Amino acid sequence: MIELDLFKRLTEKYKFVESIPVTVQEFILRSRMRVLQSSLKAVGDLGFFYNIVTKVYLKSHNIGFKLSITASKYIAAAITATVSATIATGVTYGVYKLSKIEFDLTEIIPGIFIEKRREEVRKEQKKIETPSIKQKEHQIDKQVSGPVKTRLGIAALVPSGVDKVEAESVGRKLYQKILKLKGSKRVMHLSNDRGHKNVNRHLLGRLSKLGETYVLAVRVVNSENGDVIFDKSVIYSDDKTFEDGIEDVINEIISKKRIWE
Amino acid sequence: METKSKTKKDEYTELFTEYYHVVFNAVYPKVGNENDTEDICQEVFIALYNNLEKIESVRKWLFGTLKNIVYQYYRKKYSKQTDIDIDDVFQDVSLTFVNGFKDARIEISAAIEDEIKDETERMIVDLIAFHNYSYTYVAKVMGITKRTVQYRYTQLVKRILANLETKGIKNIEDLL
Repeated sequence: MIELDLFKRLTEKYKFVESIPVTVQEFILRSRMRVLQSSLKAVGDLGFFYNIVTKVYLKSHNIGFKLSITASKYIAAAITATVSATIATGVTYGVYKLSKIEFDLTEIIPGIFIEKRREEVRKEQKKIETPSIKQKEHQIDKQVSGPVKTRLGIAALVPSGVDKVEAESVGRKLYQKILKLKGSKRVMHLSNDRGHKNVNRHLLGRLSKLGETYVLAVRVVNSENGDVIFDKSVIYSDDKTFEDGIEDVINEIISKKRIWE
Repeated sequence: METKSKTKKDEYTELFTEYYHVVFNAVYPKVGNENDTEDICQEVFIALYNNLEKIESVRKWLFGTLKNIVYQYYRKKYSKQTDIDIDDVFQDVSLTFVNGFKDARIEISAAIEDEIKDETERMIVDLIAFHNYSYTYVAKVMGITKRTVQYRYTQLVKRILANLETKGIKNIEDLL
């Protein structure tokens, strides 16, 4: 354009031009936001919200989209609301996560875990030491350690050539029949540890099988001096013989004074 | 939220955006340092905020104030030099050249002032003709399109040259 060229030469010749270097021009764009905000801050009129408004307003100018102050405020309000909602969601999620982690910490940090376990143990001990449980225990002890002089403890029969289950079954029969006749104060099954200290007669036995023949050997020992008070072996080959044999053994044990006095 | 009506700071923000470049461009050639220029601009605009209600012509007021602040800057910087005339600093061109040159300069300046219709045109001529900004940059600064800047500047230059013709300068080449 001729006019533009003429005018340029005119302004240059008559010293109207005070050229601003490109680097300074870029500096002006950058400093504009800074100076606006610092000047508003200096006069005490720059809040958090207005800070965003000025940013929106000047940025829109920089991209050639001249927003009004009012429009900038609406956009700033939308941005603030979005950011606040995001932060609130983030914080809520973070708190939720942290509350989850708290449980895991007891597993991760041994100190906390040990302390928690100790607390649990203390609670369990307290529970055990409550009066109702103590009373129950006392009753059992009283029942077991009554005014009887002697108590027979019947141990499980030792299997030899037979199944353990079979030996247990015979042993249980033996125990139940003696118990029925003598009562729970005088007879105990020795597989139960409780009251073991109050037993002073021990019934020990063995169930063996030789071919088709069964051998039941029973012995009662005085555990106070080690004397064998009773010793009997029964040999049988069929059910009837066995039932008779076991009845004989039981009757003999019941009638043996040395066992019960 | 103050979205319903314009507050003082809204008005200030708009004026700041409009005049920041003008003030910066006026101060920078006198100071020659962008950081000092930025400080001076900040001082000028804080004063603008504090006097906003009293000001009638913002442009005139800004130039008057920036002259004072630049003067204070000179006094601080060259404290031993007591005979600084701030008008010398701002109008050194007119003192360097005399007679025909000075008259022609005044004529051109008057033609420019006559043809500038509004603040947008003043800014465009200020930035493009006097400070060598590119169209793209001016568009960015003013928040308008590059095409608008180019069009308005071309139209303005045509009017200024036509104005000079009416003042008896038939051939612009004679002034060059």
